[in-house]
Amino acid sequence: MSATHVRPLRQRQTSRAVFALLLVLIGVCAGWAVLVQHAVKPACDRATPPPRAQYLHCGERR
Amino acid sequence: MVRPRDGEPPRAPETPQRNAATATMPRRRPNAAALAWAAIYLLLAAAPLALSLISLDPGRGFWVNLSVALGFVALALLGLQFALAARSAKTTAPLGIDVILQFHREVTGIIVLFVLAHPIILFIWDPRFLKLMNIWTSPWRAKLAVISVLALLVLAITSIYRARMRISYPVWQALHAALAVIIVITALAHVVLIGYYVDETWEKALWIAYSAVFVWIGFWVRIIKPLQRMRRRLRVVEVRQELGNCHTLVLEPVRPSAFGPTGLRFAPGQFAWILLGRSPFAMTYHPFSFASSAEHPEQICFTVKAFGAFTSGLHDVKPGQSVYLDGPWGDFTPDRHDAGGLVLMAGGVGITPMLSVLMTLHDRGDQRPRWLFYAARDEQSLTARAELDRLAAAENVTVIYVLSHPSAAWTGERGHVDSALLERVLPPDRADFHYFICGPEPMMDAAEDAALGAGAPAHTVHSERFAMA
Repeated sequence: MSATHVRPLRQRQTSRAVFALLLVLIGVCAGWAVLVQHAVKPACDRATPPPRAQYLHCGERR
Repeated sequence: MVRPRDGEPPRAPETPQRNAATATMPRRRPNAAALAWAAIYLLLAAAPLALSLISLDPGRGFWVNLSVALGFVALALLGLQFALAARSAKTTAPLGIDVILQFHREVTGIIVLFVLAHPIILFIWDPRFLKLMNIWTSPWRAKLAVISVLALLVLAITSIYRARMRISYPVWQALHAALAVIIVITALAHVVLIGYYVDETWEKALWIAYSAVFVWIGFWVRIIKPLQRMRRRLRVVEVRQELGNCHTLVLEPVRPSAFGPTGLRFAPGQFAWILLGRSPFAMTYHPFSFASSAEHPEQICFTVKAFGAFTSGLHDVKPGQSVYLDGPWGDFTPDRHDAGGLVLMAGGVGITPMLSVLMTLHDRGDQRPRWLFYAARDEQSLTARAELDRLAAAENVTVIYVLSHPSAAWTGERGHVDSALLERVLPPDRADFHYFICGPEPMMDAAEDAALGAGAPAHTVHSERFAMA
């Protein structure tokens, strides 16, 4: 008996599609992060960081 | 196993016929509809990021942005999981329910990865974020996030290890649905309380609309679909004890006209989720393969082995009891393939889809050669043996029982189905045969190896795994 258990083609294709989706989504997230980084001024660079950015510890990081 | 059909005239001796269900069933290839659905899925997954670009809040640096992006996409994927699990015929048709359910399971891995990466990136970027893990002192936005992540981990673990953890299918279904709702609600509350990208009125409205879609899907799955099934109720005609600790439920539609002019149609090898009881609104539907001829939908059968609480209680089911059916579903059918011959390999109660295939082809007068290799423990484990022997009387049908622990009187095959047995029994010119395998996991692994070892190309080997979770 062969030791190579081969998953059905449809299952393998589905797993490949999920892996491709993973790569695409990581790329989308990283691309969005870069885009946003360059699109808006950082909250901590403002004279008065918005209250919702308080957990960034702006004062201590500068 | 529905009723004797000996003597019925064959419909088309040389040409396999496809019934109304399978006539509309395409030979499945990547097509425009499948690609369109994939594109829509990807757009919906990335939609929160695209929409946030309309009105960006103050920047927080690359790593915080990346963490937030992963969190938003994970939340969108979580919502889409509800859509995938809704079993809509329109959305599953281009790809098949088996692909949709496998995708649903495997995408959970992406969600877990993104959800875990979301805080871990923050912890590495600034370890002070670790304080938020203390749910006794942390603000609600962090408490809810921790609850959501823990619920997601419990959902994933109980789905992967359900059998090992001995969680019954009905309990798992209820737990799965409850955890899914908890995960989405707590994650949405976490997003709203933080307020980034959801501060503007239109942003809040968008998230409410996005959530409303998921609520609608739940309403459609739990209310509208059961109402449709109420019209298409079936009733139990007979419950038969079978060999191998199995029972066969014989069902017939209460109002055949409710199924349309062609009646209840399915393809041999397909399955349905069924529910016994007075109300179609119960959550616990159980998936079983049709075990009768697709050419006789006026009376259908499901043969079920006593495994858990539900299946073990089938002997108490009485004629006249209502049954609700969600289906047919599945891609495990020879109707989708242009095969010159069929090699069916079954183990235990995995014989049920093979019964449907053999009966249906018999009723259609299909002349293609077909072999059934039926692996079981002993003579008393051969479910539906009498019916199989009747089907084997046809010239082009060969049934081979392979017993692992037969009695001393057994003169048939012993051991397991392996490539040596296939090579000995099957003709040398089997290049265009297709192989269909159904049974317990170890048997299926061995049978797939046997088929490949006997020279079957991988694309001709099809298998039906029982477990949904």
